[in-house]
Amino acid sequence: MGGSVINSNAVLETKGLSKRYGDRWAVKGLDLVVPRGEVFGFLGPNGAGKTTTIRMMLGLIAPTSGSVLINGLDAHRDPLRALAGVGAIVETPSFYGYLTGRQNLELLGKVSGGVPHGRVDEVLELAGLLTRAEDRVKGYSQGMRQRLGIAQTLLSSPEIIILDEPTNGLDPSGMREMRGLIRRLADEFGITVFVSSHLLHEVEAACTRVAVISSGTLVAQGLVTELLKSETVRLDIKVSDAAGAADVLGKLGFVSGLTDAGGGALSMDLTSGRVAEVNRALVTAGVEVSSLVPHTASLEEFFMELTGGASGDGPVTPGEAEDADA
Amino acid sequence: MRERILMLTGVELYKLSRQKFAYLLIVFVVMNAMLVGIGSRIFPAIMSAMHGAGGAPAFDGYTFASIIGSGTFGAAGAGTIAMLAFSGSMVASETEGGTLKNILVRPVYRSEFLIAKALALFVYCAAIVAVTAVLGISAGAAMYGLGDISIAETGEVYRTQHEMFMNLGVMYMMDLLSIYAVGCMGLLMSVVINNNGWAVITSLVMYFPVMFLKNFGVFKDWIFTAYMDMGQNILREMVVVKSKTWLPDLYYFAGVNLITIALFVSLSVYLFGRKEIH
Repeated sequence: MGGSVINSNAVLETKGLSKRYGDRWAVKGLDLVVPRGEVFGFLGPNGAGKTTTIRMMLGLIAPTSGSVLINGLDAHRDPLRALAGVGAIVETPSFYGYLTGRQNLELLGKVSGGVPHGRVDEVLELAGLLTRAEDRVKGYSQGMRQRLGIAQTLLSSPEIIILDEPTNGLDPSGMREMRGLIRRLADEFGITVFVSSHLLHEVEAACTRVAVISSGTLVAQGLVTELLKSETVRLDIKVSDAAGAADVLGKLGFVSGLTDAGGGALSMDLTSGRVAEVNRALVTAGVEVSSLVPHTASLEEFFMELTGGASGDGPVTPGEAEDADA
Repeated sequence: MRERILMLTGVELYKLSRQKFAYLLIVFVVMNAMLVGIGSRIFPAIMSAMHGAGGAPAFDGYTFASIIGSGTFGAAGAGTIAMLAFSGSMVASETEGGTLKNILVRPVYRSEFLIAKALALFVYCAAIVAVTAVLGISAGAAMYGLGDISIAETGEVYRTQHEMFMNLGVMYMMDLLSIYAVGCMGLLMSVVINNNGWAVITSLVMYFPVMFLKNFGVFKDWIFTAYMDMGQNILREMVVVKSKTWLPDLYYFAGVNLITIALFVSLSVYLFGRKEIH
């Protein structure tokens, strides 16, 4: 990448990354910057181009144009050095069913260039699989396979882990476990985690930074808190005297869209950060406030706004078809 | 690079050693060799009927070598089928099962991975031939001893024991190269076709037209299938024709098979390097 500017804090970058199948662009001009030490959510509806992007990042498919830089190294021109610091799961983690969990990890450790003695035990313990390590993988549940998948990404102590829809096929407790594990990797071990998902609440719960992709194009990228920062807040209150409260609120210049839901319940929009003033004004006027619930914009609302509610209508590539099936 | 290829070959052999399928195929080949080899002596009429005129019972010299000669003749056919079934699934099973992605997202070149597969395939072929050889020679020795080949009526030594062992060695090397060339064809199919079942079936089906090509003048000298039985045929002749030697047939055999193997492996590496892994 002669002449290109390398972001030294970025562990993973894509520059103008594009993939075309026939006359359809699965991914077009994708510029991502994944800073070191963060949990980065890669969000998009089914068929948006998430898995295609990840495959290009990992050298499984060649981009039509653009580049992928891992620690500043071009993943396609120098794959050996670039991929040395990466752990990854692409779609469902797959293992040799006739081997035990430990044997699979030992084998993958060798392929990674060898891992220190005891490392397999460490990652098995981290994934909560130490007691089942001697069982053949064909007897593992989906959740155990996912955890073994995480364990194999950690074998060579990577700087970044790339996970493609890691909660797919998991039950709610398995999803929560996986979320906790992802957060732990970042918080305790300082590993950068790049995680794709079409589940908005997953990304909102686990990620510090997010990029949103729709129909192969990047539509937003930034800190989750920044993207969700809003000028207005929706506030639901429950009061003893709805009519009196409406009078008081009507006089406050920063309140708008007041609606009476009946039974003392009122809803309104107000300028962000002024919820306490509403409470103070009502109490001063002698209106008892029994409930006061502010609603900030959720990632889901933000996502729907950006993508226009897109769901699976993006360009479906051979790989994304599997993605869409998940 | 060499270290990584050797490491990957070791990984392939480890996986292979843990699969029942690999052992079953060896049993299949060995059983075929034993049945044809020993059966041709015990039930010559039946074997003759099975092989047609000029078939296995036409072997001369009732010695351990003739048992092995006819047995390996049977092993070559079974070995071909076993190799196609095995090599046809070598890459396709990993593509279909998703384990290929696990390997390729690690710091290894695709060419190294495929060369390691080809090397592991060679070791597997060698294991099949070695087991067949040990059991064939044991069976032959048990029935006829390991002595020189001599004409029964005159007692004249036709081939010494040392000579016969040398001949057997050459024959087994030829067998190994033949089976490996077929295996490399299966490896190519396995790279091209993602579905494991189809890759194996296509490998098996493709073999027959390729084998048939040896009947056409244009192909008969350079198609590798034309040389599949050469080792056994020469060995059989050597038991009855004293002037028979391996040369110059061996040069043709080695040349055609080595070029074929190089071609199949190179093509497999090239296509695998360009393959999109979904």
